[in-house]
Amino acid sequence: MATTAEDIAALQEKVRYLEGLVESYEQTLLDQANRLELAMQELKQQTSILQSVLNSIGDGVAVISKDGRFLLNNPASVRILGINVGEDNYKNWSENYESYRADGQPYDPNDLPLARAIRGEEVDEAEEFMRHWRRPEGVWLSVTARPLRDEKGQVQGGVAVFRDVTRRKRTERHLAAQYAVVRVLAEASTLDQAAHGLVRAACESLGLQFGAMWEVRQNLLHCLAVWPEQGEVAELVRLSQSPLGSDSRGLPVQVWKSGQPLWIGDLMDEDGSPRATAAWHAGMRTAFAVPIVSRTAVTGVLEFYSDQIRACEPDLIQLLGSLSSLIGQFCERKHAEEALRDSEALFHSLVETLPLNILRKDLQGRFIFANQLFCKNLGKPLNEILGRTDYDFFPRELAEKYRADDRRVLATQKVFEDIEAHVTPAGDKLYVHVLKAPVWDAAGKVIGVQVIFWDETARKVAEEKLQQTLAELARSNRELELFAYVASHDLQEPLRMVSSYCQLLQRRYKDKLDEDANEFISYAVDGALRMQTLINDLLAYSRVGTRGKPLVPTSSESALIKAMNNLKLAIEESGAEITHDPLPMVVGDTVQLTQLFQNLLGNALKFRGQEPPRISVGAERQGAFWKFWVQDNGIGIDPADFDRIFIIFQRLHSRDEYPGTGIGLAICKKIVERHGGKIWVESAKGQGAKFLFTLPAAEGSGT
Amino acid sequence: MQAENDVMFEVLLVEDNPADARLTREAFAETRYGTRLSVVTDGYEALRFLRRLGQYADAPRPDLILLDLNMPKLDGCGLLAQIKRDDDLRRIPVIMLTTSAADSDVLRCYNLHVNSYVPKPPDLERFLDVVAKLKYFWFGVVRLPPK
Repeated sequence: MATTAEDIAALQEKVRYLEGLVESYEQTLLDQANRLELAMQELKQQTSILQSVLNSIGDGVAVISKDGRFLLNNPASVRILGINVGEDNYKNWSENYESYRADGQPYDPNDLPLARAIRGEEVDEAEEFMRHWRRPEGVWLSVTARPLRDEKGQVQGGVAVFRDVTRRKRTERHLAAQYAVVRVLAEASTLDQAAHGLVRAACESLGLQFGAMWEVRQNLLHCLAVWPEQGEVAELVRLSQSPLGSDSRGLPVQVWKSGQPLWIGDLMDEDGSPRATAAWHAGMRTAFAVPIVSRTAVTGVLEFYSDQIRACEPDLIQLLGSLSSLIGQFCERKHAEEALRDSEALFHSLVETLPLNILRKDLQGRFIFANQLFCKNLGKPLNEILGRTDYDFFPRELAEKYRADDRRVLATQKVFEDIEAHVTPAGDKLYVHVLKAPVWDAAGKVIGVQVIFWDETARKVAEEKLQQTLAELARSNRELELFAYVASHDLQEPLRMVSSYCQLLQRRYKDKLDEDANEFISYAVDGALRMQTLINDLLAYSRVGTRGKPLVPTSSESALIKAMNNLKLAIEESGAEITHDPLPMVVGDTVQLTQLFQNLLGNALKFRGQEPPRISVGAERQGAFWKFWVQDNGIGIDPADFDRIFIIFQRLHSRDEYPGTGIGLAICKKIVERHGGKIWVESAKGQGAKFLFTLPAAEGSGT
Repeated sequence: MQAENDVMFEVLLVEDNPADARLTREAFAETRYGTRLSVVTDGYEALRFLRRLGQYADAPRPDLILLDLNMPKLDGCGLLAQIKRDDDLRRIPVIMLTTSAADSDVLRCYNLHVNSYVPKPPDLERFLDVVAKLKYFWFGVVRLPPK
């Protein structure tokens, strides 16, 4: 084998070439290594920046691989979720988390933002409520998610950036609840109407599962509304139907009694009242209630249940507090409106049911109000009356009178009263009683006239009839007096002649006539004289009514004393002893009362027994009257004769035994009856008599 | 009956009832004081008598007039008013002698200036007594106006 130099040279040439090549490669390699070092340093720096950015930002960031593994989650995400999701797989997300949409509906796991991102979709600011079983209060998130793609555009995973919007969401809910409540209150006219809407609005906007509204009525708590009204809460609804007394257990009564809000975070801890038990069985875990306060008194309770165990939320309590005060104000306003409506209804019903024509006119005399009766009487509907004046409806003369009366009221600002006499077209008399009064506005300015009038024809006609009757009566009384006068004068005249000439005969011819003639003459004289007495008595009797004086306060004692003076002689002759109590003031005619006592005392003296007469007079109060008595120890009266003795000219004894015409007690009866009293007698034969009578007491008279 | 020369006093009685007039005349006759009683039966006759008209041309001027209240034509009060309105007659004392005791009649007569109002008692004894007292008073006690 031969190696040629040429070959060697050629080989050497090749070696040199290769050595050069190696050198250049080495150089390139060195350059590349240097460049890589630089790039890695840059990359490291960028990663560290990125890491610190991820660590420091407030938004949560989570990256998952295509198969759901969490590749990255920053500290903010741990803070926001309260859980380190790093170990979990997103595919198993719903095993540990409940997720809800903004409308409260649970999320389909495939619709979760990252699930959509790894399918290549982009999600912007989706709202999601998330709750881990270890963090039951949950959190509201606003999530933006994007797919992660390689150079070829293939989706390799997903990234989500999310923010805690719990506070904002809560504020939104509270605002929504407040808006809903205000809206319900604005549309309702009574609390009853509002109640259901209120409870429902509060529950829906606050995401609560059951609510009830209670009202204090007659010291009991009545449920006005519950929401919902059926479903799992049926037992709670049923329990709400009976009113609760102040001694019953349970949340609503506790709040009613204390007047303070109450939050029961876990119904397990509750006192086991039927209501709490029912709520528990219906799946409720937390309950709270606030009082409804109106004018410092608790007038109701708002009660809510949540199916989650929730720690006390002061801002929710505050919200409910402000809602309940809105409700309280609503109630106060409604009460005031109701009172106003009641009062309006009262006055309206008065104005429309009283049989009075009622109307108002402004300063120009235009009708501004008229009640139905006035419209009916005028025969025009209200709308054809308002704005018109009297001149549009009445003859000019009448309208001018009405207007003049109105002007007088406006000028004097005093009530004007008149009775107008009209003649109807049919010619009948018509009397109208009118009352006109000024109308003032709130500032005290006179703005018109109020007119009230009513038909008084019936009363006036009755009054006229009464006047006629009275005139008739007066005329008949005058006739009676004339009759009495005629009786006294014209009847007595002939009698006087008979008796006088008989007496003259007796006087002049006594010695010239025989015994018989004398006896006949004396009978004639006696008869004539008795007839005269009878006529005088009859006259006296009729004059009790026609010649009486007005009845005025009078001392009955002085009447008695006057009567005793008039009987002085008879009293002395009979040796009578008359005693009397202090006697009262009565309403009477003193002349007639004297006559009354005189007749009764006279009888007692006249009808005396064997003993000297003992007479006692007394009185006692009996309602508006005084009951008097005159008691004697005389011969008494048989009860069978009690009625007869008060009848005119009725006598129980012959004239030989006791003289008299039998007029005395009849006059007594007429006097007492003229005074509005009664007279009667109590007696037994031989046991004295007690005459009793009543007379009206004078105001303020004692014993 | 009294003789003409015994007459000391003229009395005019105005009375429509003859029985009454006679009774009064008898009563006057029973007592002393010479009186002459003239009787007319109504107010117009009395005026004619007092004014000496017609048949009364020679009638005496009375010292005392006795009037009844109720008479036909011109009654007692009407006559009283005429007398008291007459300047010449008004000074003759006028006595109402009547059975009426009504307050209204008494007042009416005194308002017309009657000199006294005397109710006629219903029985004779007292009537005689009243007439005797009247005569005693007017003719024994009183000084009458000079003629």
